[in-house]
Amino acid sequence: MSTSKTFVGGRGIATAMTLALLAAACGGLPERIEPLEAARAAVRDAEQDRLASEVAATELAAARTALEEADALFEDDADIELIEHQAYLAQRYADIADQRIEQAHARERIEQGEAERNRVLLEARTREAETAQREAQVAQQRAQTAEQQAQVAQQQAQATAEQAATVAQENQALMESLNDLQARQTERGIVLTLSDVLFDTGQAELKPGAMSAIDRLAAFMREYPDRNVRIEGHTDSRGSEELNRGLSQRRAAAVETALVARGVGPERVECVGMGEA
Amino acid sequence: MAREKLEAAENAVEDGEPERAARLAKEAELDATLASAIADNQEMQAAVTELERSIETLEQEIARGAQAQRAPGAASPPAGGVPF
Repeated sequence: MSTSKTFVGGRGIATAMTLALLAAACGGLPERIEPLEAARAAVRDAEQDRLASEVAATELAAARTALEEADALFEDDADIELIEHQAYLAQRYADIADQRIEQAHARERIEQGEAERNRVLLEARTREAETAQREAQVAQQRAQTAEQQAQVAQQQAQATAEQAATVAQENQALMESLNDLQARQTERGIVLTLSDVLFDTGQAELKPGAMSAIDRLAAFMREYPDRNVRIEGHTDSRGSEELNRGLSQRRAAAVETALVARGVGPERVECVGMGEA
Repeated sequence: MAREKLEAAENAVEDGEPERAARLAKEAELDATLASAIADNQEMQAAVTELERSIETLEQEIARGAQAQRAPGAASPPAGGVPF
């Protein structure tokens, strides 16, 4: 550091002054005046720095002037005190130049450091922004997925509701279709009264026109497997009572047979011949 | 140092050595200028140290922030391994 150089220079001067007194006592100058050469070297060193001409031009010019003055005094064989005074000034100007130069380098480092700090901050902010963007994208994707899932669920619910509505409509239609069979709901199950409309007079065979009613009844039984049916056969008043009772029983049995043929379990069907209505 | 030189210059004046007094005064002036330049330089050096420390702190904070952002328990890079 220049400060320590300064103190070395100071001690050098003290020594040189002692020598100078001795030299003066002996008469004539020494060949080499150390403080002067030290100052010359210090000035040369300071001039080497790339920032010297920018920040220490004045000090170094003054140092050069002092060195030239010292050399001129030396040539004139002047008092060594005067030569060493110029050497002292040159050394001081060089020391001041050193400080100015060192300070300028520090100033450069500060400028670089501030640029570095700004770069670090910018990078950190950029990275934060990128992270936030990535997180936002992930959240958006998650939201989209949830929305799609919700849509699918809604569609499924709608489909289920539509199916339920269809089933209800079908059941309604089925019940309505059984109206012409004079269906009645009782504790024992559905009771159907089969009139002469389904049979020809005196016959126990179902008319072809009765088949659609039997089909609908069988479908209803399949739809509600926990329901049982009781079939009551009836006749008109023509013919004997005994004949009519037998006919009504055969008519009920014909209906049972037709139902069993359509997949209804016989245990679910009860036949009763009621005779004349 | 400058003050001692100045006293010596004053003594030289009193001793009737005005030229020596002028030389001592000039030396004292440059001693004072150097002291001031040293002070200015030291101030700038302190500013450099302060700035470098603040950058280091900033980088450490950012490195910690970056680690905290990663899922806890996930493999974290070795300390100081994050390039800036």
